[in-house]
Amino acid sequence: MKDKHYNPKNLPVIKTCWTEKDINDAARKGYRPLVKRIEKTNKIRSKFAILQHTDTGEIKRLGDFRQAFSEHPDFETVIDWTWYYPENFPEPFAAYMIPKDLKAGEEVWIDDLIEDYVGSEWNQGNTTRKKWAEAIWTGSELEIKFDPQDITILIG
Amino acid sequence: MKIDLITRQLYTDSGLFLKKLHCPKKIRNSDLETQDGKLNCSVCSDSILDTAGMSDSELEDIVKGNPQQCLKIDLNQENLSFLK
Repeated sequence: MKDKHYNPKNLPVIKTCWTEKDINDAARKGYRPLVKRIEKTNKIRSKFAILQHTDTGEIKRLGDFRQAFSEHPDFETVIDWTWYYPENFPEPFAAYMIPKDLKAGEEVWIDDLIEDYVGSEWNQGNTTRKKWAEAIWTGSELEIKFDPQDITILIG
Repeated sequence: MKIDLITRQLYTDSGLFLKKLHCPKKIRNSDLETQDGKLNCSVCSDSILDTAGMSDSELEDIVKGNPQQCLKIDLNQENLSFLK
């Protein structure tokens, strides 16, 4: 089922390439790569803890605070709850593939964001990365029109 | 400004506690209305202050003046970081 938030205006879609080979393949097909550094924010995070069986040495990975350490007899905590950046990228850079006929001022849909934005959060502190967004092509840059969703806004 | 996402407690960058975010009506961003450039809650009609772009000292003054003042926090706003 299509996500109602995905490209609601049916805008032209800008694809992303994540490797040197894919970027160059797209460039040879006529796209102009808009290359970006991948800059990781500590706002994107997940957590883990590791328990180890005191006799066998086998481990258990936990990701949910409800998996209480006390529920695992014969296991001891070897790594306590630790935050980490959960995403992996093949390179420290990526590129948006800009069609050569795209005009300045045109609205587009970025299918796969290079930039880190929080897309959702969970009440245990985990967050996920926003996958897509609307943007405007300025002629040299993509200005992302970030539309905050309910899930990333806190009120109180 | 820093936030503990688990407890929803808000702090200044220097660690001073500001307030705990809590809404008994569980209001979401889509429940907010804009009137004359100001945000209001569509359920209780209280004003909601958007903290994006506010300094810690501004927030301190606001919370001291009215601890019940409702705040809006966008997890992506630049003046916000997460507490471990």
